[in-house]
Amino acid sequence: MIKALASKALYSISILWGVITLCFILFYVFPDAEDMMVGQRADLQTKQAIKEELGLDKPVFIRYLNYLKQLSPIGIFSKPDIPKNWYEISLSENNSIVFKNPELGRSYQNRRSVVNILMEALIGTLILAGVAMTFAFIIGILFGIIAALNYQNLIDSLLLFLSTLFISVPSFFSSIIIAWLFGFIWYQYTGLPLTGSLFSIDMESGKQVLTLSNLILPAIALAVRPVAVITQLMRTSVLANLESDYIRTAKAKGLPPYLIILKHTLKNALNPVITAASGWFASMMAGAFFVEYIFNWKGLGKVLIESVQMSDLPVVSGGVIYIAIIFIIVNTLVDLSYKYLDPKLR
Amino acid sequence: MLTEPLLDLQKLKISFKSPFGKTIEAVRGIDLSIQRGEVLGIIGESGSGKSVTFLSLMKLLSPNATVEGKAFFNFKDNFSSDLFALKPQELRKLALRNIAYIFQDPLAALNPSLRIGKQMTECILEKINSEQKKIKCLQILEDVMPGLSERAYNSFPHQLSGGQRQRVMIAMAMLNKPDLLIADEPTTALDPEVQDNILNLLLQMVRKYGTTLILISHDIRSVADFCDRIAVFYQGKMVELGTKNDIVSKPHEPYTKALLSCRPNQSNQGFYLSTIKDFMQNEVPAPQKFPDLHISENSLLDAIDVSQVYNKKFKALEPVTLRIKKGECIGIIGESGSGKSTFAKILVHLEKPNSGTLVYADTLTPSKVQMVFQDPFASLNPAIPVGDAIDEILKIHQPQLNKRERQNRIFALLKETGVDESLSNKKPAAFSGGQRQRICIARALAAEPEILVCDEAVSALDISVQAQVLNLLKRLQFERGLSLVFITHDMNVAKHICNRILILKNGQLVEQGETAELFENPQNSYTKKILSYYQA
Repeated sequence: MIKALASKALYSISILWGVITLCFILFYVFPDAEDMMVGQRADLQTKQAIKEELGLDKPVFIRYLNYLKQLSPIGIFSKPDIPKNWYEISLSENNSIVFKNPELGRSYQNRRSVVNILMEALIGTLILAGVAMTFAFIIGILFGIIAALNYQNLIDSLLLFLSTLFISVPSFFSSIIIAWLFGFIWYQYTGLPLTGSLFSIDMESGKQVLTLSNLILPAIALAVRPVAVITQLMRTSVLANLESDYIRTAKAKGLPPYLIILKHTLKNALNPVITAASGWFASMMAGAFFVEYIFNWKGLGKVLIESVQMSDLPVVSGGVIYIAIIFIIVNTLVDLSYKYLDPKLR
Repeated sequence: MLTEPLLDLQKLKISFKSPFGKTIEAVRGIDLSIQRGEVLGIIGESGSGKSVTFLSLMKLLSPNATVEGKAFFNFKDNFSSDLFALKPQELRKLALRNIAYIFQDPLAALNPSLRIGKQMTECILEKINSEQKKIKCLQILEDVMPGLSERAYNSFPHQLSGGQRQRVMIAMAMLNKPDLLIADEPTTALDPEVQDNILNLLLQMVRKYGTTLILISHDIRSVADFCDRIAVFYQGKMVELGTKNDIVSKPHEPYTKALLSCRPNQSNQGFYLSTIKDFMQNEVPAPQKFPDLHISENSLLDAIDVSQVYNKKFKALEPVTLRIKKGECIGIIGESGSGKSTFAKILVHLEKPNSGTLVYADTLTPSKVQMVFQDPFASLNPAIPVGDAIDEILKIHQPQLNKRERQNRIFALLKETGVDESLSNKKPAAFSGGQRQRICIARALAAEPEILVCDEAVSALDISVQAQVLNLLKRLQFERGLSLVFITHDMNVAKHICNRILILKNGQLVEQGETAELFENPQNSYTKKILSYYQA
């Protein structure tokens, strides 16, 4: 168990290291960062000053090491460079081992710490994705079971047709349609806003208020494809399970149909669904970018797209690293959930 | 006073509709009364309708099945009703209270993701709390597996052995003390050492609770001792019904006679086995004696101290040395996990041994050692016509042949193995299990082997088909001078076909010797133990 965890951790760290290195090459080696910071009008002296401040005049390898040092939670620094809020263990006269929060630098645009910007945005995305995924799982599993139990009749065909349709629709398109229909055309019935974030500014008091109604449309838009995918996976999986010997045993025991489905089919059928659906978390995140942008939902996707437009490299590279971390965590959780669902893996 | 039968099947007919509109008649009119308290054996081969008949009672057949006829079930208060006319919820109540099933493969029949305790308690009818339910389950588990009840209760199915799983199934079936227990091939998937224990336990449990037992099996010899009456099913009909002694010692129907004498036993030792076809003729031909055996003194293949280790720690096979001579048949016997299949794979170069070497005679190359596998359904590619499957081998091993010569070879090989050569362009689906195994043998022969390794090659076959394939292999041994390495768990088959026997247990060679000598005078205690099952 410990060995498995250790190898898993090592694997995750090496993936993260790969992503970080790639980020460095893409965002810091190729482009001229000082041009992006100051725009077209600055004179040479200003550019030189910025270059020195960011250490861009140093060789690439040194910059890479500095970049890693900045990101790593543990590192060796010379004493004068250490800010007060870092925890340090003195090594020699000049150097200390330091434990700190990983740093991602500051935004070129507004000089705010990238960690703060991304953390704020991350919460928005996690809430949106979490609600959408929960919704997708509940509805998808339900529809999948309904389709399987009505195998090859009208309800099954209808669900199969709809899910195939929704798998094929890209999320930016379904987002626009959903926003237009429910937030504009039928606004008088739904009362749902076209765009907005989790917190909105109250016009009278000027305070931030939690606005859950803003969550509904983007969450549905984001869930459309996963619902369709999970419906189809679940349908196939339940059908395969209903054929198995232990279902025959359950029938022979005289259990009522609802117990056969809930107790004997569901758990066994879920395993392949979760395996396959976890692969879809990736495209969920990609979908979230467009959905957030279209619904003006304050989240990682929106922040990243805006930063790309403004060439705010520290935010973009930090965002990519965040997404990599999210993937690693999600995949680990999925692995752990197999162990619960399939006792043979324990 | 004549009591009402517990179950009365009247004019039972079952047919299946295939997706292409064809109707297959699985059961073609069965009338059978089952008396309360008896043990009735139902004997038949695959396709005889023996399982389908009894699965239909609780509507366990697939939805494309049509059931006609009546099945009157006699409730304890002498009130009978037709099972096929019951509403689903009445049928479920009946299933919980009166009729229980045990199936062939206990690993597949138990839900892999639920603990045994959960699967048992859900059958309990009484309104009692979970603690009392647990006590009830543990009591009956203690009956079937003394001392292990608590462990079994908290286990998942995969944590128990095959025998233990079947014990759990028995406990689960007997939980509500049913009137009728239907056991469908309850020991076929188990090792032979466990089979008798399970059957004894089954008998003991039904006696204890006064349950009527229907014991469905393909093997008349292994269940006959446990039955009061035996019914023989053949092609959807009941061909013979009688007391155990009548059926076993003076059978009337040719099919029953064939079933009894197709199995290798003491009386047909040294003879080719009779087949069903022989018995279905008016005059049964006398069995032919095996010709004299010629085993050359020089060895063909020497396996010297070969061993195998998986995952760096699991010792599948401890060092074994075997000398294979031309024309002999060597039996390798062991239960599952004994390393016998590992050894076979090493002999045919499918696996590289961890240590040890294979020394070939000058005339022999590794391609002259070929293999026939257990499951003829899985070992032929369903998309490739059987002629092409053999052609593939010819192209590799006899590249000098042109297309016409290869075609002639294919016909000759199919003819030699007893397959109609005009069917060579058909895909495997067109053939029965026995024919497929013949095709597999023909395919192996295409490489002109001198050694044929048969890994449980007849275990998956019906008894009458098994006899045909055994005869074929034996004929090949005599006619071609082929050496056979015959891997099996079946002592009867081994004694019939093998000249020399090796016995493996847990990857270790425990004993080897000439067949006759080993059977008469076993040295090792494990050998003695498995031989005692054979003699019983």
